[in-house]
Amino acid sequence: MPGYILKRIGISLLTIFVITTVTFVLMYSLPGKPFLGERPLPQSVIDAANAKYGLNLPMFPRYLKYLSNIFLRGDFGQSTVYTNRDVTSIIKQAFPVSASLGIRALTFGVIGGLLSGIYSALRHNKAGDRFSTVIAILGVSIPSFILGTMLQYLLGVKFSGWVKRLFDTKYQLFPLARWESFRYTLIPTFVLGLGSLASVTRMTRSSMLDVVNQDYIKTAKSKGLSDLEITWRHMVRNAIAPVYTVIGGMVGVVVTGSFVIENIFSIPGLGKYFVNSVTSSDYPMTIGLTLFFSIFIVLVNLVVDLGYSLIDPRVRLDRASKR
Amino acid sequence: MAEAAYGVPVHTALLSADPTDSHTYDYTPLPNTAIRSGRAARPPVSYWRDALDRLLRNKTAVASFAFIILTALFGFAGSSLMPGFTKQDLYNTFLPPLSPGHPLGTDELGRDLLARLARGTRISLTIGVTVSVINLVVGLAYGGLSGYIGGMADVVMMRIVEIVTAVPEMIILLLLLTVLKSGMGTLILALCLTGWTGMARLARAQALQLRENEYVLAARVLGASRLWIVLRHMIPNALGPIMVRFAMSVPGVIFAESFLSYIGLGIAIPEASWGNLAQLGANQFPNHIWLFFIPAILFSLTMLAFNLLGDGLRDALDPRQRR
Repeated sequence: MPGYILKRIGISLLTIFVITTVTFVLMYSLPGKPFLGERPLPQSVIDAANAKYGLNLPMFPRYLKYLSNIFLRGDFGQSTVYTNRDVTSIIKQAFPVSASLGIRALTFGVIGGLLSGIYSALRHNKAGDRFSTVIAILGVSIPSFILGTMLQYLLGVKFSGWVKRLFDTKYQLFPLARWESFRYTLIPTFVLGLGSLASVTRMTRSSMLDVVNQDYIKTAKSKGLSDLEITWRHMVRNAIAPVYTVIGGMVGVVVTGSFVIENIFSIPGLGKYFVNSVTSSDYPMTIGLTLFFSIFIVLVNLVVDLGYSLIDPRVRLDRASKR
Repeated sequence: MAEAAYGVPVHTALLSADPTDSHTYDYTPLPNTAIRSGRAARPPVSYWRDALDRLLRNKTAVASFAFIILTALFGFAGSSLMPGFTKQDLYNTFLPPLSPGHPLGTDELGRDLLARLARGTRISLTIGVTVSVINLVVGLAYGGLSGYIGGMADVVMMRIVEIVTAVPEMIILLLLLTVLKSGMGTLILALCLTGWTGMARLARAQALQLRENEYVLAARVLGASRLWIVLRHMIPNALGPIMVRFAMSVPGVIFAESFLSYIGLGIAIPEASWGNLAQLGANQFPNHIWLFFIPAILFSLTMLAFNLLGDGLRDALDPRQRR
């Protein structure tokens, strides 16, 4: 057990190290200087920035400076587009918005997926099963940015417009953009969570169907337990463990999805800043946010994996023997 | 399932309560002539023949396959027949669908949507298939080699795969596209750099699993060369899962390409792809919404068809997994 945990932590640290090194090399090899904007900066400002990020130093000392800025001071660099703002302050401001969207989407996806997967398996090959399998395959297939724009039009423009006319009000039922109150979050959450819902549904369904034919279910039935008790205590509890493994991967999917969903719905989250930095060639910002997202996801996956090894001891042995 | 101990057939239906397992067993002894001649009573059916039969019986998979073929025909033949996908006509902008000469209407520069859609289909499918083929070859070589050599090389090679997969594909893609000059070649290169890991893992797992099989041992005992074992035994047996993974990888690549094109980093206008067609349409939001809906629907349907075909292939090639 401690061996597995140490190994897993070691791999995560190695990954973070490789990512920081690669981003540094990319940054170092990019042509041009970071502070050549359209408006020239005073020489004193440039000197200060050069000193802070070690830009005039040779490669290796600059690398050490880079590492110490990130890991000791939490400084991910300076945006060249948003003047006077460093990447860390943008992260502090925008990450909570993205996290709120992501947590909502994951909650919706995981809970909805578990329920529809369980329902599907209990109604195996009946109409209800067919319906939720169709929803699952649609959720896997339709790209989130397509679905987002579609719903923005159908619900935000058409349906909300119809409601306005019907009740003769100015109340916008599904707002088209921004992030203010609960109803602003509905469509983005649904769109971002649908992919997760679909994969959790498929996973839960197949894992439940594996469990249904186990001997202990027959034992439970012959003991005379009620259907409800058999379903929850014996089927779901055993079927849920494999589903947990996909949650780590889903965090990555939700983060990726947020890049475009935040743009479509003008949500002031980190994904929007990230994509804008890429399209406006704000290199330090892109690299700073890449680092931030990567470290975040590596750490989330570490937590999920360690959590899983606590829940299900078989995994530990299984993975240890594979590696 | 039950074993046939000492050659006595065990009635599996008695042992498994699975109602879907409705094999009927024929206990009539074979006629003496058939036994003496050494031939089976029924002509042998190869695994591939059997899988093909199962696939053809799956109506959803056949319909999906037909849809993909028609879409590809539309893309390749259509774009050859209608080469004017960049031709602008500023007198006829935003013509609605079913206009004379423009069956699907025109965009904001008067370009014919049908011609652009055909071209976009061609570009998106080309990228999807090209990248998947490259990933297939690279992944098979890398994974197969890793599993074949084993030992320390295997550990190092798999660590590299783990590090590449630790960060979501899209973050690496965005980072690569900020550094590299945009264009179709770059896009293909970037998609390959991130996409080969799945196939490498699969190939390694297959190599490790298959070489433990009894028939490989038997072939070795009989003095077969390593090359013969790989070509005659391992590759044909690994082909099923690899084909399924390949079919599933095409929509994944197309999704990544259109995601990037949608946020303006993939295929640049005036060249067309599903992603930038949908994005151009979404820019006209909420007027002229057909410019978004037409490419979006064709794109979503094709993704759905690829996923359904992949599911059908998996069911046909590995009937035990069938649900």
